[in-house]
Amino acid sequence: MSEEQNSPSSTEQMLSHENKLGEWFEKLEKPLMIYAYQTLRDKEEARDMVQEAFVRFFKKAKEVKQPKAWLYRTTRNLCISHIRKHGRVQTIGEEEQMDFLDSSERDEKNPAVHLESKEAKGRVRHALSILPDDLRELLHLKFEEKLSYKEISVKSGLSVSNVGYKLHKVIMDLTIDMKTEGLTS
Amino acid sequence: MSGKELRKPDDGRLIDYLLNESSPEESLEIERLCAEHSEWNDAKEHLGRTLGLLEDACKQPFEKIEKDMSLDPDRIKNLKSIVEENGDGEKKSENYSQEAELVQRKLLSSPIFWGPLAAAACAAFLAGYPNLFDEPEAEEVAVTHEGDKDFVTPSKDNFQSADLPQEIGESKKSDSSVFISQSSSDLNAALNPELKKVEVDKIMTDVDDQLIALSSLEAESILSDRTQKEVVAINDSVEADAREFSLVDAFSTPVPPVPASSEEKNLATDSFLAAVPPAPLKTEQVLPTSPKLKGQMLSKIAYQSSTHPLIADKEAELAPIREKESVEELVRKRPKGVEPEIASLTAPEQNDIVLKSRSRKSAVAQKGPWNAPIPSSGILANGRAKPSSWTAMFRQPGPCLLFTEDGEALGLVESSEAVGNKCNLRRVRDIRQGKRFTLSPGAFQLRYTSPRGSVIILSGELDKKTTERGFEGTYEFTAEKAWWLDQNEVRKALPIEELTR
Repeated sequence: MSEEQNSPSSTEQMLSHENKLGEWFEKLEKPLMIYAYQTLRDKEEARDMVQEAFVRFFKKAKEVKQPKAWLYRTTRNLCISHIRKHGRVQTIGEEEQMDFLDSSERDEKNPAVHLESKEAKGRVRHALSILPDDLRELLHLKFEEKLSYKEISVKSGLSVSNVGYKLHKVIMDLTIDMKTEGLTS
Repeated sequence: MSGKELRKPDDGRLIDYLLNESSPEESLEIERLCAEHSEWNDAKEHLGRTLGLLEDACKQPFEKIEKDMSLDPDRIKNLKSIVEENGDGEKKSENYSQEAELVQRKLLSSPIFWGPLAAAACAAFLAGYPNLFDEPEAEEVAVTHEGDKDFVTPSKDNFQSADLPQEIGESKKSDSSVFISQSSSDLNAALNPELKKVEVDKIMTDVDDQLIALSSLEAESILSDRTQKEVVAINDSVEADAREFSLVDAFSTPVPPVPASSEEKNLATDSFLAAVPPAPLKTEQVLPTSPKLKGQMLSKIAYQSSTHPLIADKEAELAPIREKESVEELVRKRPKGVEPEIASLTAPEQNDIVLKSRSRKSAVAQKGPWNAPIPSSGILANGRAKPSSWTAMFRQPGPCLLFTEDGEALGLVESSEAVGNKCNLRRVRDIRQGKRFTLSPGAFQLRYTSPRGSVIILSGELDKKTTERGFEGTYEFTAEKAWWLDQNEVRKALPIEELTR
């Protein structure tokens, strides 16, 4: 009986399961904190949301197939619920917040579409904010300054193929994240 | 490249194409692939959306990430404990289930489990046929004597095994129950020669031990799932019970038995008592003394037996009636001036929608600086009347409260220049000091209150009003539906066409 109880396979499985949970925590604690903070603008509230997201994750980790997407989605939903519960949207420029959205968004009369778009934009801004500086600079050169791979290569000192590779990777990672989180259908 | 491979979109090529990094030939090829294969087209659209979002995001300045963006040590500790608890819980429950299974298997394969059962079965058989050995049949083949004991060889009809010895003393023959109780070990031994040497008592003790081990394992597995809070709550309840039902109380004076016609006698106690076999001791000897304690005991029994399916069914039948009664009672008894959400539970008309605002009270408490006599609780207590002219309330410049479609109060706005079903709005103040709210194009609601306490609510679309100089803080509201609120806070529809006449 005791042999079966302490069989190495079950103990190892348990340890590896705990390790995996720990790895997810190590990997996503900071990004999720930043994401929650960017949504709530309050560090303590952000901590509460992230903690709650991890508590839920740890309790049903075995059922979760895409931990990263799941944790982001849960954190986002918790933040939105928190905002709704407290009836507010706290952001920096207060007067700006009272105004309507940009002209680009004025056609979006459907609140659900509007909310989804807002969430997607927030998520992308968050993804950019946690990128390493060099990658962010590459994106800036490409999307803001509209430079070609070649021009970026000259400016950054990277090879053309390296520029292409790095940009492809960032875009693909983000596309996959957005898809798994259900932000782009 | 095969057709199958071509169907699978190449994200790299698509990204290059979307970023204008493809050669003209490559661009044409991609366009052709997208036109021919929906997978390519879908992937292109998907990537295009992400690139659009990235482009938008790049236009805005990047936020600096603050330091200390991590959970504090207490929270981390808490999370670690949850991981450990989960791990331990799973491990424990796994071990317990394995252990329980092993004990059960061992028990089932052991003769000491089946021996007593066989004996009991035989005893039951004999109890069913008490005269089995009393009146030997005519076909009885032989009777032998060995010492002082009489051995009866059973008839062919009764037993297949002719060499099965049955010891029946003369005195025992007359009383079959005595025979059953005293001869079980002999029967057992007769049925299974391997068990001849084993005492039934010993077997029973072993079985008891095994069963106790099994039940303790089960109990431990249940206990391992309990949280600390639950354990504390149970301990407290046990302590409270111990205080209430001390031994002194239990043995001080006898309690008269509960009369059948007692008000406390109910279905719960009936079913409970019916399920319990008659005990050797009378209730007077063990029940607590005072009527209060008696009531507590009965209520405890009722509570415990409320899980009985019969009672659960009755409870389910009664629940809606009780709920309705309690809601009606709440509405009747609610304090004056309070606008509870329970009104929503009592709205009888389907078309009547109840405004669920959690913040109305605070909004009412805020008085406008320039006019706006927002009704006091006294007015509300006297009951609301339908406004004499609700269109005048809308057209007259003045304050009103802005709500979301969900009934969440956003703040005080000033209504002016009402023409037809449109009016201009300017923000006056937020409901919550220092907390801003975002207005986005869409549906909102306005709540107007007359000095006499009449309330109308208009639902419609809100839009930003821009002039040549741009946006100057004025919004335009287009009313689409209107209601007035009766004294129970129930909305009664108003004809919106009246505004446009």
